[in-house]
Amino acid sequence: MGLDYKWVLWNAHKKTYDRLILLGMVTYLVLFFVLSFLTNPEIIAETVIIRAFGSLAIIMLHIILSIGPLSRLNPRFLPLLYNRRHLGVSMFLAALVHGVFAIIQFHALGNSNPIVSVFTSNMDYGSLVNFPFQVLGFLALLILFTMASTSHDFFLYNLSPKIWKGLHMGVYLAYALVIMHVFLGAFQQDTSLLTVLALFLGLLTLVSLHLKAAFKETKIDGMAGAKDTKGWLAVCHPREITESYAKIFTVDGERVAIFKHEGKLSAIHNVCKHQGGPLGEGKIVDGCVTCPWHGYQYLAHNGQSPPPFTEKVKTYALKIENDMVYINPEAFPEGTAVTPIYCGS
Amino acid sequence: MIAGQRRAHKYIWIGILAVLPLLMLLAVKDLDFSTIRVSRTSTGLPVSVSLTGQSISIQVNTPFKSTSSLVYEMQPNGSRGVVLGQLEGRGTYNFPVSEVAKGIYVVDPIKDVELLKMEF
Repeated sequence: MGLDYKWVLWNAHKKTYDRLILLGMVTYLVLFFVLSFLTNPEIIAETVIIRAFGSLAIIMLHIILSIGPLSRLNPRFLPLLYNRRHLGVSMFLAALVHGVFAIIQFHALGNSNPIVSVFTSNMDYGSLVNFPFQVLGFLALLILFTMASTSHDFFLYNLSPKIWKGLHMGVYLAYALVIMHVFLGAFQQDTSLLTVLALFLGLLTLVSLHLKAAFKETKIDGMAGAKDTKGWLAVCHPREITESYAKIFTVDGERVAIFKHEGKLSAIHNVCKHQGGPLGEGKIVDGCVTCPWHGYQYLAHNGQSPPPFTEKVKTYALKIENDMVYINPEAFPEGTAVTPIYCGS
Repeated sequence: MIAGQRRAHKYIWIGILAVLPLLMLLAVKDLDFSTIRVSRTSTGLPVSVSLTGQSISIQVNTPFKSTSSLVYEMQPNGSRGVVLGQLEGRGTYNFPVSEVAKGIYVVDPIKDVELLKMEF
């Protein structure tokens, strides 16, 4: 969370993770180069570069796509989510090296524009196994470029979180394009059961994680408490909420986090204005609700970020009757102050 | 994430599960994953040969001195079959072969000299 824009938002944690990313990438590339030349001394450097960076990008893409659901299934993975953007940009750079070298190697020596050549050197668009697979990789690279170039908070703020998130969900299309790029390209020329099985296993893992997380969320969305005669929703007993933490409830299809701070309860919309992080999975730090994803902060009683920040979320009215907490499903406008209710424990 | 985004994520991954494995299977169903049937290598020979399914991989370690070096498929009766391709400098050459191929010949077509005969 910062008032001004910086090219790269680095802090001690992010620097540590970035070093690990760099170390992992360099180690993989060195191993790939050494093993390639040991097992096939005739292989040319360009081919090894194309293969090394391409396979590195695919492995990184699998890791990136697994971080989201892992974090929803187990909060221990949240630090990875916090650093996912730098991993994504690093993955794009690896894919870019693969793409540039492949275009130079296979399309730069003809008499047509290399980019045009990617689309026209093989016109068998009606076939599956002979489909021009390089087109798929090129389109995936364009999507990854769009995502990497708009990954900065400047674009998040100016595009709006909803549009930004929608744009970045293009990574799923990029993943499908990359997989088919490999299956219709590399695997047709250099058949290896091991690598084919590895990508099937990767797909199975990703689909399992995402669907398990999705159905867990659907189950939470389907939970509905009893309403009293005035339409207020009974949600829990006051003692069920731990001091400085929250419980998350579904109210008319949306998630609401009820926080306990200094023995008083306040309810705010659960979705962080930054990147949609689950505020209710965070905790109160220095008197502020702190998003577990990127540390954005809000005051629990009015849903506003502390000055000079301007982010606001919706607030909700609460009441306690017969040792039961009730919430009014009608949200107040974003940033509306609501007096916290004392719950005594 | 807001409720709409959660739903979108779920449907996208159900869609990926429904479509992508099918396309992956169709892409590889006709590939030959068989392991190496025969491998011939010797320090005395200029080439190493591996037969995998219906393809042959010839590793040229020492280039032939002939002007041209053609690879022929050896038929079951031992005679020369179709031309598989041409060997040039050092490197690996991959050619498709028929199931009945018994071996290969490497021939200098200009002098019509047999440079190498290798039976699987």
